[in-house]
Amino acid sequence: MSVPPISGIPAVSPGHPAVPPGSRLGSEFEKAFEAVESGIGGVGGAAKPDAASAIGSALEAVSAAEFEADAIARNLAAGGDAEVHDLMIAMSKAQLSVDLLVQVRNRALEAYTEIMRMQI
Amino acid sequence: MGAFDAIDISATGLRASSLWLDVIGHNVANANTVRSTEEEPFRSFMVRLAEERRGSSLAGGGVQVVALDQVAGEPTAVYDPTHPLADEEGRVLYPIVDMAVQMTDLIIANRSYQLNVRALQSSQEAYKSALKIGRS
Repeated sequence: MSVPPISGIPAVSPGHPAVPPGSRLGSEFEKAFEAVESGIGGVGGAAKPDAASAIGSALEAVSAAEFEADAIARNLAAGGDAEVHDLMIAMSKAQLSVDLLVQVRNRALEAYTEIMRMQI
Repeated sequence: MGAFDAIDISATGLRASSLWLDVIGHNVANANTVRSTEEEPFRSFMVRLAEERRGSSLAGGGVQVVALDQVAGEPTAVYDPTHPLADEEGRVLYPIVDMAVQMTDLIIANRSYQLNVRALQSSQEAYKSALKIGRS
């Protein structure tokens, strides 16, 4: 499901100042999901499924979330201008990303074992 | 639509409420800042908030602090000839800080921060519930 963009509203993300631009988690995830989708859509089609790169980019997105939380934690511990809520938000984002990754892995593994159990 | 739009929107509210709390702290801390009659008296600050229309979410991007305003009002000149800042007539200017306003603002700012935390927790719980879809 996709929502059409509203004209006149530029897609600018209000990120944390300590975090470099372009590392926004949502877009990272979208990229990862696109990679996963193209991997799945490629089964039986012309393009080869590339599960390894899909999982790789998903892992990178999760890793980026953890690095973001880590950077804010370091800034806060060093007496920087980071706020406690920013750290908590970054940490919960990282945790949710890991939860999502684990769920995706569980489902993929489930499908694999289901197929392996099939009697031929 | 990003995966964490609801969290990002609540984060802008948290940032704004946190700044508001800072500003109230500054006003209360300066409640005894006396100045000479030649200067402007200390005027308490107010945060001006505006809706943030940018962001990837259809709902909007949250809130942002656009300016810090200072309250208007006539300064009160108090007769205190022993004060080092007193003028020839022995007067000094007292700060324009309404403590009743500051205290009520403090309660509102505090509640606003808590509400934003609650909204953030709710979106977090919704996200966690979504991860449970289809779990056997």
